[in-house]
Amino acid sequence: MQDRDFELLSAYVDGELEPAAAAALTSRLAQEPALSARLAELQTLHSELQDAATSDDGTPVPARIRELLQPRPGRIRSLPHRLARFQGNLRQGLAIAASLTAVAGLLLASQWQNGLEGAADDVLLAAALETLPSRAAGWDTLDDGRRLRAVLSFPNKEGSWCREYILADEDSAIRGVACRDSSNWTTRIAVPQALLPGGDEEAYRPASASDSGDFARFIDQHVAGDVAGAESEAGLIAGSWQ
Amino acid sequence: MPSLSTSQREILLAELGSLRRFCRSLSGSAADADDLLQMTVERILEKGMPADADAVKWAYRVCKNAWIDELRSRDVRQRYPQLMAWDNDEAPSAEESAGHERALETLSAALAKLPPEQRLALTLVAVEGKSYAEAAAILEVPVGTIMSRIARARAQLLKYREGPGWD
Repeated sequence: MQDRDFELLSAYVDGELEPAAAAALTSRLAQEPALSARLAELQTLHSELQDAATSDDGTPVPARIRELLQPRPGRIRSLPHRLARFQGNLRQGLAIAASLTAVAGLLLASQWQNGLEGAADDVLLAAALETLPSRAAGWDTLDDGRRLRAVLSFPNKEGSWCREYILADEDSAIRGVACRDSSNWTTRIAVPQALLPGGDEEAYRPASASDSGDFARFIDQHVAGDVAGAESEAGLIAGSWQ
Repeated sequence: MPSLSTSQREILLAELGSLRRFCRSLSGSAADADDLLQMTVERILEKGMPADADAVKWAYRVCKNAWIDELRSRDVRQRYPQLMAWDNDEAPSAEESAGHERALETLSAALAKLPPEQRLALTLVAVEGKSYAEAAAILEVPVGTIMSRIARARAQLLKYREGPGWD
């Protein structure tokens, strides 16, 4: 078969032939069995390609990637890639991250683990997560002076809702995820945050690469759907997250 | 270059599923696809996007470039296997591919053998449903080039499936 005929058949499968050319080819197909047989093969191949494309595992786009595009300056930046294939890029990225952290000179890790252990009893935090909407920037101030930014809300695989947040006091900050168990919010993971250089108080990133990886893995393992939009989240707050 | 506007972010968020499918067709695995997708989004965020750019075409273009960069870097690694031993078990050998029972796996293996420019054109049109004109805009080549690349890609896939006796 000539290359030109094969190109015509290929474009015909894609619906890209001009009407006159398509009509001419249709006429030939009725008279040329070899041409018709080749078209059938191309159509089968086309179907297989589309089947292959739709045979993914049906999992949603990872939350860590969706989050990158959320319109807020305080999003997590440069989460590590999972595969060793990308280790070269990752190593470079982590070197930059380490450098940024050193330059910032503000490692905000103090006692965050103690904070996590007591998170279930953090009544002020729980009350705020129950009632405050997520925000792209700025802070809500808790009664004890700590600053809270609810970042986003997402459903987890246990059938309840979780909220990512940043909680900061004068000299430390954590990024955490709390999930609603019965009527209480319990922090499931919290990692220390470092301020990015430049004096922008809105821009935090995980203080270390391992923290970043732990946080990303936690979200990947627990997220069960799309992040709630503003309207949806307002409805959840009004309905006590039911 | 300006950072992303809210509308550009919304467009990209809505397009993430399709972009991920595109990534998967290019990379051949779900895990690699997510890494490629993340790399694409990070590049877009880092470098920004012109205010008047078509966000979808721009994103596909960035994704294409990221994938090609990855192919180049993989090519470098394969020249120095002693430094990158972890890379050796990525691609199945021809013998392993021939032994696969599932047609889709065979097809993926065949796709992986296509030259990158043919694979990109075929994936955009046959998998993503882009028109020839849209694919041409994304890949920055004439429409006629898209047409011939897709035809050559299909010819290669049929040849791969049917063996060396195919005309």
